Amino acid sequence: MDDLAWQMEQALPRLRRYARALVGDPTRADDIVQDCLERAWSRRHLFRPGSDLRAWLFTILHNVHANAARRYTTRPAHVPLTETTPAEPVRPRQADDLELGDLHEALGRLSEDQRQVLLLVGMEQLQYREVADVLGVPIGTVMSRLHRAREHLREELARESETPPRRPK
Amino acid sequence: MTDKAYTPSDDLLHAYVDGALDAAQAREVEARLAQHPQDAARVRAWQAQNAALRGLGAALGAEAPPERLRRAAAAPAAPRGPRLDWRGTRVTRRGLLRAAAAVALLLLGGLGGWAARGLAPAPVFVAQAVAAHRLFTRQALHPVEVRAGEREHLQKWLSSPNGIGAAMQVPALDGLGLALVGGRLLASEKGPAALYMYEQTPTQRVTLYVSRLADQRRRPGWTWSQEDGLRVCDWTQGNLRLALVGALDYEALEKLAQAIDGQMRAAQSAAALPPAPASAAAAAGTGIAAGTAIAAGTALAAGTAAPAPPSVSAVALGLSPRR
Repeated sequence: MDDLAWQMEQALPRLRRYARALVGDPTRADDIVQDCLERAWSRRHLFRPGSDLRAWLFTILHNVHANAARRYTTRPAHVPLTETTPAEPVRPRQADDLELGDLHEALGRLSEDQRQVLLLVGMEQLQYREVADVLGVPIGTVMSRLHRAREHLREELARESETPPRRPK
Repeated sequence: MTDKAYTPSDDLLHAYVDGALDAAQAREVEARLAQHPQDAARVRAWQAQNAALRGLGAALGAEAPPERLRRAAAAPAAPRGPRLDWRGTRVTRRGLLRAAAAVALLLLGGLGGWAARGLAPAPVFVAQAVAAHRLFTRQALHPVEVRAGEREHLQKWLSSPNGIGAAMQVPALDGLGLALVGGRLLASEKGPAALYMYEQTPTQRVTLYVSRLADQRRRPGWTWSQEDGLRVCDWTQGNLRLALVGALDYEALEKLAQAIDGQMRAAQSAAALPPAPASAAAAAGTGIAAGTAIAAGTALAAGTAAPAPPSVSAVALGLSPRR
């Protein structure tokens, strides 16, 4: 099982960044990843050798997150990147962080369904079929969510760069 | 622009952006783009999004994962990573269950009237308490609306009809190492709720979430739950429902909850004593709604009147309620 351990460690940074982009709050994102890893270990007999471990882990992560969200519906679903906790000192920022901050914020304004698909496709570069499996929805749903996410984001980012904002018809 | 509406013919454009087409299909799409500038503009925007998302991914993924996650990835048997525990002991999931079981046994065996219900799924009330805890404890500048310095005002306000509409003394937990930060009023589904915040340091905060019991006939017993490193003790006292939330182990949480519960009982039984000495009532009753826990007794009265350091006596009183 050392091989699985190695693969899980390899996948860890991607799980983490996906969770972070999905929920915003760093601590909560790490909690979700930890639950995901623990669950993966306890269910490793369900993993089919030869299939894509990363997609399997994303599936578990998604379930963990969905369960947590169901139990705590009142918690803010997405915290902007700029929110920091006193325990969590602000990390030094890169020069292009402002733009990334805008993007992260715009992501936060998408519906969670759309955000998931957009991140899995755009950030994690999963294939459409894999995204459908991870989220447990038909591939047609993946495509329509992807489309809406991209168009929303295009509007959001255009609104930020152009003034005055366009009023929706 | 109504381009947002999705049509299956857009699939090809998305697949082009994501590099999911073979060379022949890609050439077809490019021919279509050459003739449809609007589509071309959309595709360019989506490509830019992909590039930006990868940049965001690289930025978010650059940081080395914390030890607890590396351990969780590396081995199945690894104990659950250390959750926030002020006293520095490592808490494992199995340990938590044992602790909860121990608490349940202790409560069932030793303390009459304390019905522990084990680890029940979190009700909405607890979810709201946890959400409020998470939101306000991380505020550096405005954790509360009314600071501890105005304790008397805080108490009057939150007890008033414009507050939660039920009398409550601000619990004193100084004897257990927690200083009052202050409090605020919140809206919840079932009406107003009060949030009291205590801290050992600004990163070690505990909150007490209180609202009026919606239905007097349904009185949930003591429940214990946990979420993301936070633990919650939820119970009812008098006409109030309370949830104590903190990144503490159950043992510490229980001690605090007992202290709070004890102080509330003491205040109630003191208030119920028929003829309170007029002078005491006058002294303690400054501005507290009539019929309330006026006589909170000398300990709590001292707590409000004197800005003085923590009265251990208040806690001592709380832990041995007069009946």
